[in-house]
Amino acid sequence: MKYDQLAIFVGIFLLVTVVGFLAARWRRGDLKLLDEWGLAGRRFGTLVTWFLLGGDLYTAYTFVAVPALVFGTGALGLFAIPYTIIVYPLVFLVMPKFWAVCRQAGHVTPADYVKARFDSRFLALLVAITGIVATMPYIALQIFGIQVVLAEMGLPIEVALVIAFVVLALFTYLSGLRAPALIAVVKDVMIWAAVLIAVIWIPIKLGGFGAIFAHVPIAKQNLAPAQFAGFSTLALGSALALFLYPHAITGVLSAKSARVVARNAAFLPAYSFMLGLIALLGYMAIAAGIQPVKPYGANIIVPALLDKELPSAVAGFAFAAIAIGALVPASVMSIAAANLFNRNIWREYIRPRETPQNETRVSQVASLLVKVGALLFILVAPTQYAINFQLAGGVWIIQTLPSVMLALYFTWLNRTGVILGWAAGIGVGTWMLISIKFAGSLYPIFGTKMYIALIALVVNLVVTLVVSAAVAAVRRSPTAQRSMAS
Amino acid sequence: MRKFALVLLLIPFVALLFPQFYATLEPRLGGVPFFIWYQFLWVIIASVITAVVYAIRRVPEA
Repeated sequence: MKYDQLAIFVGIFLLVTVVGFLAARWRRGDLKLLDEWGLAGRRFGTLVTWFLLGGDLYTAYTFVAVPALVFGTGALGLFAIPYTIIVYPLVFLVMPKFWAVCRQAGHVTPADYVKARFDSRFLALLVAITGIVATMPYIALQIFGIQVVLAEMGLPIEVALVIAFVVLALFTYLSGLRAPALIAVVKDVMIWAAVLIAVIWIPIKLGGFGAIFAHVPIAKQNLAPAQFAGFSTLALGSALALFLYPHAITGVLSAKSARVVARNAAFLPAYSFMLGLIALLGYMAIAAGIQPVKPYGANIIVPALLDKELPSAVAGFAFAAIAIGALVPASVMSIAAANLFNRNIWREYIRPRETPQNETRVSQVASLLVKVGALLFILVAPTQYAINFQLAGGVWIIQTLPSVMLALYFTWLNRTGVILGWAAGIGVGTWMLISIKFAGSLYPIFGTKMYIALIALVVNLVVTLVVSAAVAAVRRSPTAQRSMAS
Repeated sequence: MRKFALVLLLIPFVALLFPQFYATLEPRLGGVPFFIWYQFLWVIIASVITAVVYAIRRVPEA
């Protein structure tokens, strides 16, 4: 154990803890109201939204897993760059409109919108469950991100994780969305500093990018033709899925205007550039001769690389940045999942006449339970389960695209079509994942490997459109109109 | 003009979703393969495109 690393890590962690608790007083609102606790009063301007969404979407797990993928499989792992580029034209098109509709009607969750749009609390329940189930493993993987950093520093993992989690749970409970938003500012400044230091310092030490790539096998520097379809479908599918995740929608809805959301679609790619730089750490790890270590496998390579190539104190700073980078998304994700549970399950099916204060209390408690569940999952089950489950989460969440996004534009979509499409997409996607035993995210269609989420989405869309059109046609037919009139 | 601006948003999709057009090693930039620096370049271009469309469209404040 290196004590200078530990001192810096603990010091920064304490600072962030204080920020998290003070956040309750920031832009003070009545935290007993769900709009204030769960969406911070929908008052965030362009800059805070940029920090919050940047901290929320570019997670610690991403920072660990993307370079690990590049390290292991090479250029295919770089799909993260086109993915996080093309997502923003989509955001620009869809999310300002979605924000406006939700603001108008006071929707807190995507399922609130679905319930109103399709007049179906059953479809809303499906969307809520899909969101919660897709979010849980994502939270677990944030804890895993902290875990690999702790492992590299040689700290007692269980004790440290529990401490980190108690802190996270308490400030989220008390301050709501204000906490991750304020911490995101600290986190993003730290991550930017750590990344810039790493991508300047390490290449200089390793003799420049020319020398780095001289150590990387040619096959890992470029895509093979057989990987083209996998690369594009991963990028497109991931981009379509990202803003369907409840934590992304929570971030969007906390903005103060549609214009703030649209502006962020132009500014957020700065983080995509950073993610690209982080992906390059995978190549640097190859050149530096870093070896995967059990039980973390390639996921340890970023902490290991930083530890080996940077001065110990600087590495400690970077580790703290990664750990805090896990707290922000974990907090927003737990708030988003809790709001779904509260609004679309508890209030809808269990206690419909909840007072506003109790409603917020339900979300607060649910956010605690969600996090405890994720922590237990990481401590008890093998990490591979969380990774597999997260993979499946991406396949499932994209199935809510017709109900949450297409519904904004196609007024003739109806609930029968959307529900059957959802079921078809979930069924096909899950079946493909099982048939390849969760060994990856690609499935061969006519001999070409493609991203399962996108294949399943196509099935979903076909069913949704055909059934919706059929139902609309039957309703318009003379016999149906006569029977409705009588 | 304002509707037409949305078509600009398609450009990044065309530029990035067909790797057969850019998956080459040469020309390298400071040792970095073309396949990689081309993607970094597009982070910037796509961001500028979105900003331009934002300026043309003038999203309402409400």
